Amino acid sequence: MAREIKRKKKIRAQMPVFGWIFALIIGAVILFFAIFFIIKYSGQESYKTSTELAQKIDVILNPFSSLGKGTTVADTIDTKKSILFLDCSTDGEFGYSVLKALAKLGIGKEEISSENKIYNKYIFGNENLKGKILIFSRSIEIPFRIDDAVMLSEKKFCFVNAPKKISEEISQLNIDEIKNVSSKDDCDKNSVKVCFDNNNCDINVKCENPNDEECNYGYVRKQKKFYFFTDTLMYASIFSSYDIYNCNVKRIMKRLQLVNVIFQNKAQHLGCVDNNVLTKLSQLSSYSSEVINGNLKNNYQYLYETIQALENANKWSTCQLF
Amino acid sequence: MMEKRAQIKIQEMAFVLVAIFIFFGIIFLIFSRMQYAKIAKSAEEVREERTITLLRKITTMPEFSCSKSYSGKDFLCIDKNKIEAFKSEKYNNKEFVEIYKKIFKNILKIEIVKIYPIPQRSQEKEILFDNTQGKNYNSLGTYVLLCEDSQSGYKCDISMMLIAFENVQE
Repeated sequence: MAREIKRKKKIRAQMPVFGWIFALIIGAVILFFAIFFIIKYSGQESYKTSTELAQKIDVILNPFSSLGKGTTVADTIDTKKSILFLDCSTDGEFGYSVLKALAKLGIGKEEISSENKIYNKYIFGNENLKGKILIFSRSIEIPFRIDDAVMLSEKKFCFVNAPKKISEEISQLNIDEIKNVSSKDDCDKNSVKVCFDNNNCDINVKCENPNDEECNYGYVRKQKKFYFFTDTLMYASIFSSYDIYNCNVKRIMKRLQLVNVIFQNKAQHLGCVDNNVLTKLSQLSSYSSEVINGNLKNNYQYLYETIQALENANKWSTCQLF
Repeated sequence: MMEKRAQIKIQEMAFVLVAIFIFFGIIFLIFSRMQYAKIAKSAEEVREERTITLLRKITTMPEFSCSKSYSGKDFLCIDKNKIEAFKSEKYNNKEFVEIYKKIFKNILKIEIVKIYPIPQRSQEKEILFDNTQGKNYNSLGTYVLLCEDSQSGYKCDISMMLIAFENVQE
């Protein structure tokens, strides 16, 4: 009997201890899963927020890429601590710009968004952008409007001794991020100096057209690289990195070829027999193929001259296509 | 007796654990469903905003917008001759449509419906692009001028351009 009672006491003593251990183990397992899911969730939340940010930036840029003929617009957005990642690809018929974002939530794991491939815009800029970003947009007319060049930059620019029309255009924008001065000494210390008549600036622009009031074609020298341009592409070459600039130029030329097809079909529908315009359109298409193959350096002047010739031919034609 | 009590205790513990895991499983399912609905709503809002901003962009595309020669009528103006050219290229070249699907992204349909002068047929419309097969969609529209060049000059009709985007939410 005494033995029985002693045995029962022993068992009673063991059972609570076992229960506590078991509860602790289960509690630890539940806590582990809870922490695991919180970490997973914060990563997913960051990915979701970053993806939403990239999509919304795409939507914000839509009005900047639907300006219409001969328009220039500038504005700023503030991404605070979030970072935008820009890239470009020439794959496919149109190529595409790539926009990714990293939204800084302040807590938890940070994840960069998925790639947002943008086929209907030509976005020029540096690969990483943060903080207050300048959005500068100008229509690309070669000679008919192809689209708008949307240029993004987080830096301030100081244009020194720009040609008259460029100075007027910049002054009319009335934004702090782009200044127009006659001497390099008038520029802010931390701004990027863009000189049109000097080789000792951060960016040097060489205009090769005979008209001193404009800068229709030439090249930009920046960080020991040459960016060849015609028309609006001058601004794009100033604001953009080398790879993104060249990629987008090729994309614009591909688009030019497709729009060319529409104009040629339109000419057929209208019964236009003006061979001059159609010949110039073919020439333009041919030079754009050269640029797509990487020969902008040898063809930018011919491209500009063909653009001018096409514009004149269309202007005096009985069957104006554009 | 003791053994039975011990077994009952262990079984109780096991049932409680199973119940806790089922409970957390249900919570997780409800939470996932709420997250999915939130993301779907957010995606639809972004699509709608994108479609609204694309309304203007499409009217300024060089493939459709009115030429300079229509002197001043280039604000939300669509060139009917270019539409005809676009449609003929679309019918002759299947790749053409695939190319433009990428530019139009989440847009399923673009059509232009004539409003004034009042059309003689019930609905005079031009369908530029149609990818709505088997999909739920919403439409947004804006007024545009649909101008056509002819031997007697150019004439313009007031039309409504409708753009359809996919409905994400069920």
